[in-house]
Amino acid sequence: MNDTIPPSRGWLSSRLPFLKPLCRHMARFPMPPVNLFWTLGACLMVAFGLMFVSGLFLSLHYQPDLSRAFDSVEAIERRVPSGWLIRSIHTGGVSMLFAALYLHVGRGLWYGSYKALRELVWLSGLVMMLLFMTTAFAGYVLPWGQMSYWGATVITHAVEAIPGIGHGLLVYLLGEDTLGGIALHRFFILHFTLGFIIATVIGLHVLCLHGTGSSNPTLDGPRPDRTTRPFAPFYVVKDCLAVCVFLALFAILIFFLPDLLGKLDNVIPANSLKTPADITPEWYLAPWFAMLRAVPSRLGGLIAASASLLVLFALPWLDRSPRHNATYRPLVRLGMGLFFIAFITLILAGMNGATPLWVWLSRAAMLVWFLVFLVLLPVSAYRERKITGSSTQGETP
Amino acid sequence: MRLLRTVLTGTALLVSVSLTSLPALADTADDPIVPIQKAPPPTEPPPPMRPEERGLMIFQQVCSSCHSMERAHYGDMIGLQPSVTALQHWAQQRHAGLESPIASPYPSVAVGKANNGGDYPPDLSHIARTIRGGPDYIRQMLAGYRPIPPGVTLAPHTYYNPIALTHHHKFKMRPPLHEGMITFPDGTKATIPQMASDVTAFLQWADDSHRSTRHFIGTAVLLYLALLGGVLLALWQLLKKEA
Repeated sequence: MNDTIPPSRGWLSSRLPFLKPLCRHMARFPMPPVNLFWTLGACLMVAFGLMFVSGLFLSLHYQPDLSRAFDSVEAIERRVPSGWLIRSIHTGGVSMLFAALYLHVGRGLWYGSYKALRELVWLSGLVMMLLFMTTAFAGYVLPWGQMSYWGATVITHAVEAIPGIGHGLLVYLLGEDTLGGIALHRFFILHFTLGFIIATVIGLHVLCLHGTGSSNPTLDGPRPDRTTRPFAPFYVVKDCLAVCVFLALFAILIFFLPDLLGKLDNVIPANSLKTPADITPEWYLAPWFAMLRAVPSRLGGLIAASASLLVLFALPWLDRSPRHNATYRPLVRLGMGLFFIAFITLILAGMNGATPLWVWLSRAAMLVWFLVFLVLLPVSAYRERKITGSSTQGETP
Repeated sequence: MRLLRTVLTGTALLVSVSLTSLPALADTADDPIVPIQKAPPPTEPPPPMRPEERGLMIFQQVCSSCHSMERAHYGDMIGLQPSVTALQHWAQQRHAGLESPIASPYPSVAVGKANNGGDYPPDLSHIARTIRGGPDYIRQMLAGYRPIPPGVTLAPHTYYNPIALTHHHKFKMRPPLHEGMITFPDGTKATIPQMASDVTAFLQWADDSHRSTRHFIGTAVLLYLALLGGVLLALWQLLKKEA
């Protein structure tokens, strides 16, 4: 008998003694009475997992080479066994992932999940959103179709608007004067590597969440409910149920409506001499494309688009009201409602041509975006802090 | 000896099966060779062909003499033409192999343009998806050639096709289909509307050849998820009551 190993412990837990407490922590993690919007995180995990695995399989057959990229994608579609299936999971998955991601962020905004003690959860989530957007953009370039090429041309040339170093930076990033083979290879490396980086940031995000716990949507209401339930089995089953519905929508999208989101022009190989009739980004990047277009100056557009994202990082310090849930904050409820409408308007504006109507609508939506976060939220937080007579920074009770 | 035995067994089998319908065979059973030769060959009807299979025949004999289908290889047509030899024969006729793309018959774009009144015949790989109007346009356009009405003058090398002219200012594709130009093994009459619809089905298949498999897998996935969802819902309700 080896007396260093207590007989009550298993082989693994005597070598990894934190394993059992960790499992116990996960299973007993106290969950406040959250609603169905809190299942989006699980859906995102599943969506990311599917993207990650399908992406790995695609990378086995994809060739990041100017002359072979388009043909290798066609070969995946036509000749690689089940290649079409794996690719449709990957190309349809990105829309499902962003839909869940934006709803997840929207839930955080509405229920004030960014507030004190959860700042790190919010910030790590925002970093992840930026990483997802970069990954999606890089991935869209890879098939090297017409829309890949021209979309990438438009977006990379936004870099050129930076005064002084713009052109030099662009050439440095692309590796040559124009978007070509070197840039394609770099986009592939970027896309591939970011998948692993995002996986790490997901771990950090969950770690931060487990530091403070999930927010409680009932606390600001007339009947606060402070009871908690352990995560397993109730919330495990609830998350699985939501994932099931999410996967059903996913399946409908990729198996029955594959052309709903796909850009037709991307089945035509990239041609640097022939600009497509209208260059439109995928819907999930459309809001920022609309912003780039809505500001007459290129630099201004770039600043506006970056500021719209940066302002989200400042939210925990812009809104220091003790109240979280927008349902019980009339002014914030109005503001968040307007913001969601503005966001949808920007998506539509980015996907439609640059007609005066859409340009003006996107300008109005941008105004709403900044007014809500920079004026309405701080003002209503100031008022609410006066009413409640509290000087707290909106700490979680 | 072995042959004789085989023949005898075969005959016996044939006799036993068709005793009622062919009583004459039973009488001549002592001569094993003759009844085999006299047995009427089963008059199987030609196997029915799917529209896209007929469309492939039209593509091979008509379309591909001007158009390419670069994204597809000759071997990819195995889904519509299960005979490898036939595909190999087709590829060899065009100085290619099973693993070569279905290239344009013209050595260069300039030659292609010169042969078609100045317009290069477009690649057909994804034409069903990318052309304005989609498959419906292709089907109607292919059957839409009309004699030039009096009073209309056309530029040289252009053809009168009212449906094509709704999309194109000039239309330079020679009328590709003619009544009875192809004999389909399944006995389908090669009328122009029939061929137009078949070749459209083929072009849709070439653009998206996994359509039917995709729908099948999709249905299976949804059924599975419905089942799983039902079980999870029941479990959730149970847990809700418990707590």
